[in-house]
Amino acid sequence: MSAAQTEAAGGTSRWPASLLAGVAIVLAWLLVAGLGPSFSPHDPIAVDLANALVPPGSDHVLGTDSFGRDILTRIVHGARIDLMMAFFGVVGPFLLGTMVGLVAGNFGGVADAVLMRILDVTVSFPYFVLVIAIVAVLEPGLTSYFVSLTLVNWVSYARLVRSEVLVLREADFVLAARLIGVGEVRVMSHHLLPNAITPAVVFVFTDAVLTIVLGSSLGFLGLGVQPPAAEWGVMIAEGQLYLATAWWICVFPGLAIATLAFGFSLIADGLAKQLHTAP
Amino acid sequence: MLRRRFLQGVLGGTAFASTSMVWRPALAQGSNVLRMGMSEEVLTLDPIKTVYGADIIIQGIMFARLLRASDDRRELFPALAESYTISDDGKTYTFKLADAKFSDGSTITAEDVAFSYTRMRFQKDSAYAGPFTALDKTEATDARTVVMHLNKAFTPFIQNVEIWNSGIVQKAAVEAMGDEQFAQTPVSSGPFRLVEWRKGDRVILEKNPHYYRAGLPYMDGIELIYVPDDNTRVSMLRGGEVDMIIGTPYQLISQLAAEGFQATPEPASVIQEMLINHAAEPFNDILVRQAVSAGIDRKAISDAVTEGLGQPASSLMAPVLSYFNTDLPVPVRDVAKAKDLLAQAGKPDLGFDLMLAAGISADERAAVLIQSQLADAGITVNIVKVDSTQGWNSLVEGNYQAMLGWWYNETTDPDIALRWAIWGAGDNLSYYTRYNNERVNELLELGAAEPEGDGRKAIYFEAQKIAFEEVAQIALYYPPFRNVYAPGVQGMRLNPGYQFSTIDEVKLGG
Repeated sequence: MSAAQTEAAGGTSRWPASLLAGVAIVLAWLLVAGLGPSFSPHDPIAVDLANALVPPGSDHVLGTDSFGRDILTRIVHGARIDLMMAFFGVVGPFLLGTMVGLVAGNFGGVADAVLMRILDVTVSFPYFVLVIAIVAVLEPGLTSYFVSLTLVNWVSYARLVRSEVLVLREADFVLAARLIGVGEVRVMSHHLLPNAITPAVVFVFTDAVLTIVLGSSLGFLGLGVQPPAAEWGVMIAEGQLYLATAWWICVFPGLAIATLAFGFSLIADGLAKQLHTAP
Repeated sequence: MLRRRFLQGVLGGTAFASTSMVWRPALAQGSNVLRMGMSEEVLTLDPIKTVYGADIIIQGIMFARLLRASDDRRELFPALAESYTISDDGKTYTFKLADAKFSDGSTITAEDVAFSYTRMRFQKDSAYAGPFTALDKTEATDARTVVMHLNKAFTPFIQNVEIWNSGIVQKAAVEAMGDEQFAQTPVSSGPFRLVEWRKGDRVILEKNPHYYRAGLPYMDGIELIYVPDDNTRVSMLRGGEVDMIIGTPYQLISQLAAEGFQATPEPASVIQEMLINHAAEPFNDILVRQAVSAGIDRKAISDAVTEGLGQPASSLMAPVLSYFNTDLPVPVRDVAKAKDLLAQAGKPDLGFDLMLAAGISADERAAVLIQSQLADAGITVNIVKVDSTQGWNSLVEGNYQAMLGWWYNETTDPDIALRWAIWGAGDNLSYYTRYNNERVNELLELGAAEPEGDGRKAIYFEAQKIAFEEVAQIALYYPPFRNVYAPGVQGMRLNPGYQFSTIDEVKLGG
């Protein structure tokens, strides 16, 4: 499918409702992350043991955690970190994976064989174990999280792009471009990439969901964001011991993760419909 | 390393609470076997090969020692030794053996005792010979008499003959089987003997019919079941699948007590502290150490982390130990004083990295509190969570500024304890803090040779005072052991040295 075809298929029709709903949810969270911290009445990290484990009420709308920190404030501040995780956690793998897929698909032969064997090796490790191992080696924190995701997650993008390129490189317009002497780099950047990238773009939003959940899991295991920073996964981890006595510590950050993830899923779903391609 | 780490599961539990308030009677109908839910797996049954928590517990149950401790480890009673004498120079200990048998029915001879001690003290792979370095030679002078020769007067020695790794093993069995096999299928001298060891799952013990204390034990057997997950262990206790659990998250203790379980925390010899590196900036400066110590609210940390079950620290060893310095008060937090000390030190904008092992929720909570408390004094604490092995290596190599750590003591004598914590002349460099005070080192040597009494008390009081005032480590709080027992388990108690020393008298009922 070429860019022109894509436009003809969906360009003039209405946007799918799921796409609009997803964009609205994610925009709402972006707004919260951008403006919320300036409005929040409490300090997200100041410990106030006298006000620990206060249930949701007038002073603390969503209650306080075991350190007396306001849950709402921490969710609002955490939105920045979680959205950042979603963004940076996807950008690295997307760029690396797309490049690899493009090169492997276009050149084939030895380059393809080597890159695909590297991919096979990466895939052969249990996913979660590999991410945790890399994070643990690099020293826990956000940067190592992004590095480890880039090193592990590129495989999905590489496969998606490569499979598109394999078909496209035999397409008439590509053969024509080569015939009139267009260089390899330009063929890849101007003719193959724009047409091969659609599935990868759709997958970005699905991947963003997985990235947030994974980031929260790492926070939960103590390997992600370091305390006292507010991050939703860390908040849930800290609250789990109090699930029976102070449910609000876990439940509200859990809802935050769920809604943001839902928003990204809707976007991925909507984009897939819009662009007529399966994620 | 395991000395510090083995209790990780016990002390640093995380768990997921079930809200179920319903539980079935825990004891299986008509069974007289105690099922223990363990947070750690048993790795060896040879008492000299380990310092690991689950091993220490099972070996303490399987192997009798020369003396036997009360359930608070305060008193020692005759056990395999019916009596002993100490020479006037304090260097020769003579033990008279009681009439006792191994679990295979053969007699426990002086030769077996001498063999056990020589093996524990001098065999290369003996894991914890440290407390016995004063012991030069153990010999059997006749079938019932064992004589131990020390290279110096060493008052704590008599306490040490109860430590789990001095358990008596059968010479013939060890020699016939070899160490490898003996560690799998030992002949025992204690109240229970091995039936079956299902690796990775459980160890099944049965009553030793030849146990030297007539009429004991009361129980028919014990199963030590390995359940690594705190949540699962608690659920199994509630569901009646185990009769007791070792290591329970603080947050669940009161809930389990309300449900009818015996959940009284047991005093431990454990101390939780912030280890600081005296060989590096900024803690090589006593003013900085005192400033950080003044900026910390130990009571708030103890209450918040242990749900009020622990005690804020006022010395560098636990209060269950003898000669604990009761004159030292728990320091009161004083932010102004902290700032003042920092100004004197010329470091008004102090910052340091605080390392802790990831995944230990109690330590993570303590770190967040320390960070927030010190922020008030203008000190920036950067929390660095690391893998526990990596953390231990940094500690040993001195490649750290501050780190959360803990330790416990096998006996109630302060000697091993303070040599671990503040003895700069020792191999572990004052628990790797590189704290080294000549006077303290000298006091510890004096204390080891001094007979029990006020003189010995004065020595240890002084050593604790110096080390605490110089802030050798930043002691935080004394946590209790947190085992929970079903209502029918009678008389089961973990003593401060991490032993169920009266397990032979435990009854199951109800």
